[in-house]
Amino acid sequence: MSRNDKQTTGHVQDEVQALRRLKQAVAELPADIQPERDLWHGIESRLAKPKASHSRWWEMAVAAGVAAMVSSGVLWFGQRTGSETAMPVTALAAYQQVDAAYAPVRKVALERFQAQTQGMDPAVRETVVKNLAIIDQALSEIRLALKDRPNDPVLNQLLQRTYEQEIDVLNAVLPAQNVESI
Amino acid sequence: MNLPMPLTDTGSAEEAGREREAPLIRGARAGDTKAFEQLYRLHVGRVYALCLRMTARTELAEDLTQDAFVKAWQSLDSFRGDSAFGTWLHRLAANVVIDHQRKQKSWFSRFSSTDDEDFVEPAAPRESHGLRRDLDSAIAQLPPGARTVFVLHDVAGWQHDEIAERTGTAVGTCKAQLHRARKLLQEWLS
Repeated sequence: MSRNDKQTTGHVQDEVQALRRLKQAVAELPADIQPERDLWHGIESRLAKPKASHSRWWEMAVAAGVAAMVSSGVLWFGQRTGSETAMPVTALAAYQQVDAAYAPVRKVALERFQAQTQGMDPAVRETVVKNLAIIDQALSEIRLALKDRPNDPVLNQLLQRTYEQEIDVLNAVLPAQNVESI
Repeated sequence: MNLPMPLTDTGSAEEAGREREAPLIRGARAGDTKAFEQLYRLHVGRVYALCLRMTARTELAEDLTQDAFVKAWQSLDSFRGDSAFGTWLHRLAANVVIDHQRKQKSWFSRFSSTDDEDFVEPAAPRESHGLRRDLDSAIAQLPPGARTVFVLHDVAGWQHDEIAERTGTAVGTCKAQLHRARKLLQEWLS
C-alpha cells in the first residue's frame, strides 16, 4: 500500500468514526422535551373553533386590518357591479400601473428588510414575515379579482391601499430610514 | 448511511401504548376534550421536541406544537390506527412545521432568488461540553434547510424521498443538505 493510499484509508476511517459518534449521539438525544409553559389552555380554547390561528397581537391587528380592508372593498365592489358597467380596458390596465409604481419601492424596501434580518430579533423577524405573507395573500386575491375587472377603480384603490399597508409594516421595523422616502 | 429510527415506537411498548390510548382516542373522537387533554399530556414532550429541533425557536415551537394538536383534534377521524397514535401525531406535527416553513420561504422567494439563510456560513456554537450534551444546541445552529433535513432524516427517521416530497425539494438536494448538516455537526462537535 502506497503512502497516499494509507493516508486516504486513514481519512476514510476518521470519517466513519466521526459519523459513528454522531449517530450514537443522535440515538441518545432525549425523545421528549417539555415546553417551558403549559400549552394546553391555548389548545383547548381552539378546539371548539373549526379553524383558528396562533397569531400574536400585532399580527392579528394587521391581519384584521387587511381583512377588513379587503372585505369592505370587495363588498363595495360587489354592490356596484350590478348597476355599473366595467370601464374600458386600456393598453396598460390601471392595476398594472399601480404595480409598476410600487414595484421599485417594494423591491428596495424588501431588500433592506432582508439585509437587516441577520441582526434582527428572530421573533420580530418571524412576526414581520408572517404579516407580510398575510398582506401578500391579500394582494393575490385582489389581483385575481382584477383579472375580471382590470380597471375597476375600487379594486385598484384596494390594491394601492394594500401596498401602503405593506410599506407601513416595513416602516414599523425599519425606523431609521422611512421606506417611502427611498 | 442510514441511521436508526430512535424515536419510533417498537414492539411491546407500542402495544402497551395502543391499549392505554385506545379509550382516550375513542373519547376524543366523540368530542371529549378531557380525553384529548390526556393524549396531549402523553405526547406533548415528543411533539415539542420535534418542533423545537426543526425550528430552533422556543416561541415558534410552542405555537406550532399547539397548531399540531389542534390539527390532530380536527383530523382524528382520519386516524385509522394502522400506526401508533404517537407515530401518526409525530408525522402530523412534522407536516405542520414543514407547511409553516414552506409558507415563509415562498413569501421570501418572491423577492429573492436564494434563501439567504441557507447560504450564509453558520457560526459554530460558542462552547463545547461534549458531544451528546451539545448536539441539540449544535442542531439549532444549522442553516434552516440543513436542519430540517437532518432532524427529519437522522432524528425522526424519514427517508429522503418522503422529505423531498413534503418539502418540495429534489432528493439530491435533501442528500446534499444532510451531508452538509452532518459535516457541520461533526466539525463543531469534534
